[in-house]
Amino acid sequence: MTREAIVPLQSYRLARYAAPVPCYICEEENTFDAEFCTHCAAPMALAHQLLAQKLHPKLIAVLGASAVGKTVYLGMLIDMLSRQPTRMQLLARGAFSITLQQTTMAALAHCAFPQKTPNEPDRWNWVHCQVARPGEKTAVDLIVPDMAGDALLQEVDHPHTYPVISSYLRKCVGALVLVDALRLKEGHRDQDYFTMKLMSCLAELEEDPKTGWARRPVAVIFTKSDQCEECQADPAGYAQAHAAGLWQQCQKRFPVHRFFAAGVAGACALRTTRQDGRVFIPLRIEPYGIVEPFEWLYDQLKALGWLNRKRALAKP
Amino acid sequence: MSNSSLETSAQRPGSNGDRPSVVRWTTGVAAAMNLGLGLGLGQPWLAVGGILGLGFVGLRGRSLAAPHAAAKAPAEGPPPRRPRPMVRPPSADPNDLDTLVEEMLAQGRYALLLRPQIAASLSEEQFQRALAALEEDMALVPDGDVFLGPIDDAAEDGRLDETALAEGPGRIVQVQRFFLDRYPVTNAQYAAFVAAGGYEQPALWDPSILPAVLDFVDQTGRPGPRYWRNGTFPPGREDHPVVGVNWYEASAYARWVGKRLPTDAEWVKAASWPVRLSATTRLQRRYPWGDTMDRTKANLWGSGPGDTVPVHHFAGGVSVGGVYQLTGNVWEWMWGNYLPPDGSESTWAAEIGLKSLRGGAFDTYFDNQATCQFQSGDAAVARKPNIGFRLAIGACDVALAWPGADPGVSSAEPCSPEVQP
Repeated sequence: MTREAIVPLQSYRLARYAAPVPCYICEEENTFDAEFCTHCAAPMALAHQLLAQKLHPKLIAVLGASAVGKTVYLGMLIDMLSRQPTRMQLLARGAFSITLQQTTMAALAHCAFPQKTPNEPDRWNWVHCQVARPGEKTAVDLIVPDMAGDALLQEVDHPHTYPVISSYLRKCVGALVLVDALRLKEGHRDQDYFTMKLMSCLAELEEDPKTGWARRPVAVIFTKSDQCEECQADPAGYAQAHAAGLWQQCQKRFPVHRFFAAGVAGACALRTTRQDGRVFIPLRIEPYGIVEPFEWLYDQLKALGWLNRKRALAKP
Repeated sequence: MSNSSLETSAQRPGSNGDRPSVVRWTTGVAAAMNLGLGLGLGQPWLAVGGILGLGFVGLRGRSLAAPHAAAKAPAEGPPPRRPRPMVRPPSADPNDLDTLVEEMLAQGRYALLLRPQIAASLSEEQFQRALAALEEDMALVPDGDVFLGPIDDAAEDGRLDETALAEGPGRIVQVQRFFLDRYPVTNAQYAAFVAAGGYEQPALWDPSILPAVLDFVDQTGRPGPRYWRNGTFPPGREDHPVVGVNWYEASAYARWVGKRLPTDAEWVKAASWPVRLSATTRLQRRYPWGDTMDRTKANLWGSGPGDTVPVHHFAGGVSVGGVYQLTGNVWEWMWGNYLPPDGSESTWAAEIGLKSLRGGAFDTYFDNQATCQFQSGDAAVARKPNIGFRLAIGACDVALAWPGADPGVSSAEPCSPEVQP
């Protein structure tokens, strides 16, 4: 009796195994109970959620070198928009979408920066959220992952090292590119070179004049600008003066771009520990210029018609 | 101060070429020495001479720096809490004590007049007016001990167990009774200091920073807070806290009015108002109004306009002792250095030169960074839009009874060295 009851259930499970679930990022097939895509390591929770709710979220990239502040920026942005919806309202979809916000805020509240994002894609935090301006009747679904800077650099230098990155960037409709204003101020050119590589790679992923990056908005954000008054006063001028290569790339290949300055810590101190070496410690948290780039990107996406498209960009 | 630096000062963009003269600087230095010696040696007439000399320098400075007098600020918005600094023509006779006293009272420099050595030379009426100004502007905080450090783990129903506190990184500090400004120093109050030539009086400044004072200018290159223009504050902001001033500017203003920056222990005591319940337990508030964050009571991120507000706003956040805006609006400079939290095997490279800040500001994001216990820090030369200050003075440093009635009793016992900043 008991055995008869079990057999049909197992058949049902086998049937689900037989029906593959495509990954939302790389569109490769996976079994229904896979936690991460076996091809690109993107979380399959996204695919299940989108299939169940028949949603077609837009993808936005947060790019930048290692330790530029991608995790802090993204975590702070989500928390600010969640807490005070006067400018934009953001609602997370799925518990996994709140992890980034939770870990970042927990660290900052105790005057520490969050741990470095690991290189393994299956350990990245992904955010799926609904965003709307006050007064807008329909919210827009967005997906934003917190990718590791080192992984981005490796993918740029050695393509296909991280399939999830190239797959994701192909489908992105806009990008927030972060640059360390403090390192530029100190005369280090690595930020300029790395961002040029990234922008060059981005432009070549999609060169179609109608649907490529020539028509997709890019917000270039100088992070840690709380320690760089010149950058706060005139981000575009700062880019021209301190990151000339990046500035040229933007002028020629990304017509829809704007420079911004942002900061999170009111002041920092340098601490040397046996375990971590020299690390910056935020002495207090005073977010500055966090929401403006995202607002601008959202408005540009809307103006260019990207938010009205029913489907994400097709895989080439 | 060498002659060459004087010439540099006189040739600074935006300053008049004929000021400050060597005579003024020399007089200032001599007057400061007189005042110091007078106070140190207990010679009241030497100290009075010093005050007169400084007053003379101040009046001269103001007359020469007249174009950036703050009194020209428009009177928009709510009326200021205190009368604006009186603007009088320079006294023809610097030895006219009555005129000088009136001038100092109008400028809010009553604490200087109440110094025991100086109070003896005031008339009873002048003394009572200075005392009334002190009582109106400052709150008396009783003596006692206060716990400095994180209290999150030790708190239980609002009570702190001192045995548990002793195991943590904090410490208990004894504080003698003192007066603390009820409000942060406003633009209008600071304008009186700028108009009186405070930036040109070397006696008011830390000697180590004197060469840099030339760089403490506003948006138009004139001496003053960073965000002012043409030597005056933005219109309608006379009763906003002065911001864009660094620790040295705050200290110079404090010397000019005869007060000082509060110590961390004093500030925390005034804000958290600790009460000892038994030999081992105490109550110490997390916020000036209680233990629970209420964002309607402080100008923090998300609860205000995202900028400074007048010092009398958010009155619901007043402390037990009647001190306003201890939490929110602007961070406040403390006298002492920023002390990094202990307990980790680490060294702090930037700790030298970081001065302590407390209270949180209009853009402070986290509730736990706006508590009475939270300490932040910044470089002593930082001039930021969310850092201001308020001042304190030890109760033992002022005469609270007219010494003329009994010249033998000029003040209470001298301040204990442990609580001197």
